[in-house]
Amino acid sequence: MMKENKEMAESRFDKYVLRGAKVSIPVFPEKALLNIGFDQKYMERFGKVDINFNFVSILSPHVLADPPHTHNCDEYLFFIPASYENWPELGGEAEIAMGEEWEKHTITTAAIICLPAGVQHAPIFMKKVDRPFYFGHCLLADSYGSSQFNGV
Amino acid sequence: MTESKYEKYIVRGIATKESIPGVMPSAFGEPEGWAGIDHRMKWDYVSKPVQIEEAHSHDFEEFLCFMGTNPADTEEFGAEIDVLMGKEGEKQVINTPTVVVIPRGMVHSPINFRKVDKPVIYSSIYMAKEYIKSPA
Repeated sequence: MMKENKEMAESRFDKYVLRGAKVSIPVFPEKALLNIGFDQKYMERFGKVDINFNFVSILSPHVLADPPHTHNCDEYLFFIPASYENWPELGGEAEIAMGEEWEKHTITTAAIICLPAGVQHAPIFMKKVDRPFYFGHCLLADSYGSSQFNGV
Repeated sequence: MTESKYEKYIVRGIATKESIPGVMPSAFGEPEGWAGIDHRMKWDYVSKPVQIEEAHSHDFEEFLCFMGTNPADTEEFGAEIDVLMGKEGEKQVINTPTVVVIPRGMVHSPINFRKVDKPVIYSSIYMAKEYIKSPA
């Protein structure tokens, strides 16, 4: 039988519901905004999970702060158009350097960039923003820093 | 043209259609591909009141992410969503950008987008290649 969480003295499940969850990462003021995210700071509620992720609003062109680097675990990056109206168009254009040779890839649609452990990536250039969109990462470590970030 | 070494690492969006009225799926999340990595995400744009999913669990962690569709205002969220949690179906009301953590084996759903004044994005991040459900 369904129960209203508001009517219960104590909820079993409140701890799993992270309203406004945010993870601090450096973003350029006025060019990007932090949205929801998850990392180890929430894990004391329910135990360690080897994952962290973050959704960031991209508002205007800029180069992300991350230098070329690798991780010792798998990651993906995601580009999410803010609306479905022109799907799958992103509403902007991004360039990402992949591999040690900095092979350039251009992203103009919704996309996931899969990065097996050890595959070098970045810099990431948000080159054109016609309509703000969402960008983010999801890395299989409990925090971004614990993944043995190896800058190049 | 030089052959690309890394294009295989990129999954690009393709045209999709409403899966059910009011729900436009991203169609990401295929089990194969993804350059061999073992975690996934997919997302839907929800523009009308609709209930999705039945009560279920799975043998991997999942993160249900709810956000608005205005990147310039990260607090804007024009929907009220009931997420049922546990075998007892405890109702959690989502009306702000939120991450809901679903540990392995924990029964959850349905998800009822009860009121949708503005479209919202519902994204599932899950720690498996393939989304295999167990009944509640």
